[in-house]
Amino acid sequence: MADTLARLTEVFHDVFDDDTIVLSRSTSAADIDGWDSMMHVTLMMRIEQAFKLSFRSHEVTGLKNVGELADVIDRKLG
Amino acid sequence: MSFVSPSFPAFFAVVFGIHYALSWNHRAQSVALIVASLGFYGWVDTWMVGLLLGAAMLGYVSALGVAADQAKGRDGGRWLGLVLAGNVGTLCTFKYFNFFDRQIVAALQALGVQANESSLQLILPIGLSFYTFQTLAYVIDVWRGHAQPKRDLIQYLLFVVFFCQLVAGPINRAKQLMPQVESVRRFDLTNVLSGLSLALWGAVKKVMIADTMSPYVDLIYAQPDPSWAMIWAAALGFTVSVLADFSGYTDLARGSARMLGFELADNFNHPYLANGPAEFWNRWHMSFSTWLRDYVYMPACFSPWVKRWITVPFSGEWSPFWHTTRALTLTMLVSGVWHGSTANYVFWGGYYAALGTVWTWVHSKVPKKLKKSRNWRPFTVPLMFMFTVVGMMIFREPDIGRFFSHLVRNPFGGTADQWVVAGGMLAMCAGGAAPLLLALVWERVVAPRLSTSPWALPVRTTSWAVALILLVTFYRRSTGEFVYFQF
Repeated sequence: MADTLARLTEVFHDVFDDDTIVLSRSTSAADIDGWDSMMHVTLMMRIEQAFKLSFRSHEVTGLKNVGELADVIDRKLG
Repeated sequence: MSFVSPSFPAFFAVVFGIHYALSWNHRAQSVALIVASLGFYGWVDTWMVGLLLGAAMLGYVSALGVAADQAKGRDGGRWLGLVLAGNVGTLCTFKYFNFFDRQIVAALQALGVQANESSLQLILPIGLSFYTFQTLAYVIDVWRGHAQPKRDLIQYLLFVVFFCQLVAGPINRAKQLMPQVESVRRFDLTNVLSGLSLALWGAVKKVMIADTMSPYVDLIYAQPDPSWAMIWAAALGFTVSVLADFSGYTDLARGSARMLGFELADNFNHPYLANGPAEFWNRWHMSFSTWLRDYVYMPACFSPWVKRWITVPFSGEWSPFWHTTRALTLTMLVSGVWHGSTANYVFWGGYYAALGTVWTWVHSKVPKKLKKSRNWRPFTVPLMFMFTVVGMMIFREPDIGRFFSHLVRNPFGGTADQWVVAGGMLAMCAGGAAPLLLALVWERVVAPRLSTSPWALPVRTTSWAVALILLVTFYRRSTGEFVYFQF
């Protein structure tokens, strides 16, 4: 889990071009400037590349925060 | 029945009275609301009630079928396929039968074959798109595991047929509306007064702004050769009036529902203050935009089939930018085709896809420091508004050739009379936009301070009185028809 969050942080830094982003399980779209619906898709696709996995649309819609996203990733990798 | 028809207040008063008289039993409340909703919907054509109930029952059975299949370890996709085929098939039949009929006859005649258009000219049932989308979203959410299937037919039917949302949305999701349907609705004076204020404001927007402006916009568009100034003034007029019309309808729907104890999804959040296409779609017809995002755009982005057969072969490598561009194009074209079968709607969808793509690309090249500066938004909001007016011009003009001819007209051309007409239209735009801007100030500055003030009641009652005077004054011009009834 901690490793997932650390790897996710790298992806977030890259996608949002902001190295100051610090992720926690409760971080949500409202906390990160520019995380809108368009950017969400780009972010998910970058995560697919970084973690070498493939999301289905229902897995990445309705996520409330980074914690839920990390859970989905861990479930797919596990 | 329309929200602004003379019979609606009487209808609503009766429903309101019965609804709260039955507040000892929420199932009895739900049955009463279902009966009222079917009466409201069948007011003009009773046959449409059959179609509504058919679509609702297809969704009900399919959701239960999905749940039963998934309980046995199956995917449940066959039920999803059934509801998709049934609902999308019905929607396409009613929306596009006449169009394809005309095209086939024209093609046959071009080949020298004698052919006549079918005598069967289908009339699009009011609200078909909206309740179809709501039902589809419900079944897809059950299939995805985002919603529980509803076994209680009464509560489910109310979720689909509730008259406040039935004819033109907003499109409500199961997770938002179903808990409200399942709980008892007790009389709450604060909610009732708030709902009444919202509904009255919606009626004022519709009757005073939209219905006053739209006949003049129509007159200019009906001119065979309007001047450049006239057509741009009319496009601006349409931009103002269509917002007043649709957001007015939404406020009437949400206000009426709130008076009955329901909070429906919001649909508009000052869309002309958007700082780009993505934000525009987060502010305009929000319940439909999020529907498209969740059920068209996201599947198009993440579908394995799209990735395998479209993305890699065409771009050579996996690229989020091109992938989202294709998904956005598909989504906006679906949105355009949904609005109608004429070419301008398809072009309108393509326009917003191109605008979204180019805007995103340019935005990514702008230095971050500039984007975060105070001057960025005052630059991007008017720019986006200008693109919105162009989009409205495409939307309003069924003849694409005429649209392009508008673009290349001489900006300084036109007779003195045409300049007077353009000036009058612009004055009307200012008059129509002023109440919308005042409402923004009210919402952000006055209302938060008024809520705890002793002036709240006198101000509220005065605003109701002003709203009623405006409604009575302007009502005779109202058609009672809403722009989005046709979709």
